[in-house]
Amino acid sequence: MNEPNPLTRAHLDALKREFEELAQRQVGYPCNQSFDYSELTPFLEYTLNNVGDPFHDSNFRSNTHEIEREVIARFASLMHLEQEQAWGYVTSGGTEGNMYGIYMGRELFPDGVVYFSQDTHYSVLKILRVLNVRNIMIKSQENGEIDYEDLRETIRIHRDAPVIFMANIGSTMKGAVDDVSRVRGILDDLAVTNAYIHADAALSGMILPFVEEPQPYGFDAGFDSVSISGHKLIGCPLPCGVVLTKRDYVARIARSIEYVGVLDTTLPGSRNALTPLMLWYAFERLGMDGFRELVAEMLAVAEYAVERFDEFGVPAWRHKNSVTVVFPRPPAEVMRKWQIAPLGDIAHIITMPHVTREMVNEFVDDCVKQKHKQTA
Amino acid sequence: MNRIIITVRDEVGVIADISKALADENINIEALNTEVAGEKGVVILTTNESDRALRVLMNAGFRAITDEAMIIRLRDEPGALAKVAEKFKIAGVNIQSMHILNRHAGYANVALTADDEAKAKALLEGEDVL
Repeated sequence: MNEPNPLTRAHLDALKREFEELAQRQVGYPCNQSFDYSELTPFLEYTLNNVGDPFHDSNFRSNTHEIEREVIARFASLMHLEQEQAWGYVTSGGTEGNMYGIYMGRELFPDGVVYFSQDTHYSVLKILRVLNVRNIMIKSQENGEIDYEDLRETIRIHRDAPVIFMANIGSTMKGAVDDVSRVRGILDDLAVTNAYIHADAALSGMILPFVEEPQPYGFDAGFDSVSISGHKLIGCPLPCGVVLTKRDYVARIARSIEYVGVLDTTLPGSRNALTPLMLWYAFERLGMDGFRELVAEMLAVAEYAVERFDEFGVPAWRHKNSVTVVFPRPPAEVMRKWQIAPLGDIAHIITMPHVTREMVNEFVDDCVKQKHKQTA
Repeated sequence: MNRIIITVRDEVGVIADISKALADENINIEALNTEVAGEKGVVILTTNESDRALRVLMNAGFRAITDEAMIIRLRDEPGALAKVAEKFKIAGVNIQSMHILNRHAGYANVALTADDEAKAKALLEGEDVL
């Protein structure tokens, strides 16, 4: 292929400079920017496609299905799901995983009502609309966890309808973890036998398996399916994620799809074959010990950020086992300089591996300086 | 006609800002209702061009959504939503969706859709429907 013309080259160079610049100021989104996939560059020369179920043969053989199955096996192990029961695939990101989970719940319980908290990621509203499933939002506590009493009362009223519960395992803004064991307890108390729990564990799904005292998570805690992002904690230049569920459930859905002449059990048709390769490569390079160290350091930097804010009297806080540090919305000047996502009166930084103590210092200093300027 | 729901801070001139943003684009406001609780509130409006109005408001920095739902204002207290749900359950009307739009100063604004809109409206008589 010819070299790009000077204009195209200049455009690409400018874009790269812009991204380099932005990367230095990215503290508010849960995307790990510390990765190196240069070893995989040669694979960009091929048309790869993971169309179909990774656990079934595909006529399109330029795929990474075998590697994808290894990735699923590793996530299944992290989520305490027995290998022989594990099914899943590498998704385009957390939203597809959440859609798959709710779709699965809806297929198993067509008359079910989806319950989710006010702090659930906005994309769930899109999913519920697409799937046209009945749904009730439950209010959250101030800390972002679901209000269990409101959940209990609302389920009690509708207890003849199956429950499809969407749990936040690390909510978007506050990093809150809904207590799945407690939700299971509520279902037991109310004698609700037809229930399905899907967990949105986009970020914390890769944190909790590596901490000493995790909040309840995993299939042994009551998950029926879980969505975990790949481009968040693991880090990946292409958005991706993993959805995991139980093989028995998928068999039921697969049969229903077979009925209309399609054997595919995944939501999309063509699927990315590079992202499974990248996730697999990340696991190979870091290993479980590497992830454990990475998570420990992220949590240490998060605590450091809380302490730095505290030094200046800024009321910052974080949940146990969370790398999301919540603080009052900073002045507009700070948000122009740094990439952060405010919501109402609060904002957060997320101490992903590329967020260093030096970046935290600079960020906190900017917040304090601009606040002083405002006050003056 | 789709309604547009905007969550706003209760600041002087916010209605004027919304009106100006729409007027500058020659969009007419046909109805406007405001509900303020403490520092925050909800502005509900209908215009002659709902889709374009939504874009204009979003571009002007407002947090605006379209919804054909009924909006009710409830005391933000334990079981308040459940009580509404119970009323529907007893009447045999299925709630299709129930979403909290915002909570502030002891109140919650809630968007609700049901499988029988007429019955739902009747059930909500006596509630603070916006």
